[in-house]
Amino acid sequence: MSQTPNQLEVSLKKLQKASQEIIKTKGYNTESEKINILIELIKEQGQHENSHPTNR
Amino acid sequence: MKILILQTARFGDILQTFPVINSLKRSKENIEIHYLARERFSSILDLNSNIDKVHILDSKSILEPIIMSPFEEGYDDGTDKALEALQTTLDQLTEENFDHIYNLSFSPMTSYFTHYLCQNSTNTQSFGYTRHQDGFLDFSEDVSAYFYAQVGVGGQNRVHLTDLYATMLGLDYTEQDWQLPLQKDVELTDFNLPNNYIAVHISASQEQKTLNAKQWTEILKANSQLPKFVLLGTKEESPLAEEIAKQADVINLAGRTDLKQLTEIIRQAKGFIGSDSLPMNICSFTHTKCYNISFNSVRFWETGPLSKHSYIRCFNTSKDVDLDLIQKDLSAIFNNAQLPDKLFYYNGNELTQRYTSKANNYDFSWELIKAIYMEEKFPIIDDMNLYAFAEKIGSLIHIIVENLNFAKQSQMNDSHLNIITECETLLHKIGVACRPFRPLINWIYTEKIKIPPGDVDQILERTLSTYNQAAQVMKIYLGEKIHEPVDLVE
Repeated sequence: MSQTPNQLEVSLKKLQKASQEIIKTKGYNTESEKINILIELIKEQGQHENSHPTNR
Repeated sequence: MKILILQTARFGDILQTFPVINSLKRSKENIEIHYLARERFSSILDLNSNIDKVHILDSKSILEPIIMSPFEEGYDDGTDKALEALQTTLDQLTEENFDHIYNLSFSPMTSYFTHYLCQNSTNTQSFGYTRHQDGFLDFSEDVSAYFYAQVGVGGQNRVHLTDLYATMLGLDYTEQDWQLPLQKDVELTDFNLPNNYIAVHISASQEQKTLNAKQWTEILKANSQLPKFVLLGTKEESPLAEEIAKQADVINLAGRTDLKQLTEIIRQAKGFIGSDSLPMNICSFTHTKCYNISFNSVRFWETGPLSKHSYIRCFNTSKDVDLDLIQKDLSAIFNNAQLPDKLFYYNGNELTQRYTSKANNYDFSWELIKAIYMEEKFPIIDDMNLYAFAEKIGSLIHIIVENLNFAKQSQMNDSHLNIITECETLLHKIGVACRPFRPLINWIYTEKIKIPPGDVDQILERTLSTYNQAAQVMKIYLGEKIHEPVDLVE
């Protein structure tokens, strides 16, 4: 699990490249939009700091 | 009417959307309210019976194929499977064919999500962040643009989040919308609570948003004139609570309560003390007197407590906390003595600014925001340094307008573009350095984001219109001096 941030980082770069490629060749479409959702989901992983639920 | 509310942030953020849900259910006939939240935070939705269906954004399952992949050359890295899992969630939501989507998350992720659902459903209207047809960020309405420009850390907004939601969706809250139903099945007898106690939440979503054990102990052990303190918190917060409980005579319930019990303990308390967190937000719905210890890194104007007896003491950072001052505040609040000057308190009548204090609350940036967005008077510059910044901003805007006009008359060439880009970079830098004028610079930037895809002439026309409006604002301060060159390097 220590490799997780790297795995996400590598996937993030791959997805960003894929999204740019689609936009370049086919324009912005559903496919690139889905990839962008995934990109942002990955980016959000580092942002939810100390998100312990305030209950049991 | 079927609507979807998106809030993929944490407990407190979800709770801030409850007045919207309650108001919609109360005021609209035959409305079916669906809610999209992350699995981890969705349990709070159990507290609101006005939600008809909860959808889960299971980011763990979506990202699992990536996280669990062997991560070796030649192996599948899991992105295709992750996309398949995401597709399942998107398909489930698309099938619902919502009439409206209210994106209250204001995040890049949900902007793509909202746009996807609108594109793949028939006649779905969105509110909040979405995307232009070419994938660039877009705002469905003016409040979202305001949010982007002025709300959050670094912003100068003073309108509470719940009020922004109401304006965005055209809702008028009533007292009914600020209720959490009494949890009748909740049993508190095991906790041996006294009749008279003050609930204390010792932690917050981030460490720098609250006090340390030593500071809490000093506050809690010194106040013998106040009712007994009851410490609340999660299991993860238990060690901190135990450290405090060793030295102060308190009832420690950290890690022992579930969400419903927590709500009822806060409801029955004489008051609540805490930093920016879910329990503090609960006070707005249980109408519990609340003392919020806040810091400049938290915009209390936007997320502070809204019970009628709410008080906020704001420090610069947790290192600047003045324990004596907190003691004085608590004595004043709970023993009905005179309130200290700089203690903010809830002022429900003022919808654009829910808090006030006896001290002077004037802030140039906030006055400028009100002038730009709420048609109020532009604030006066009474400081030479600020005037010098105004001259620079005015000059840059003038150069941009001039070059946009040149480009409009002939053809946009690299020289015009370079000058405009340089000026915009300088404007951005001034926005960072000069807090008072930041709202105007943020407004310009956001207006440019609003420009939809189009041909060069259309984009040029909209950009020129934005800068012309900004020039009109600067003319209020500079008059015709806006045309005079100033030393931009200084």
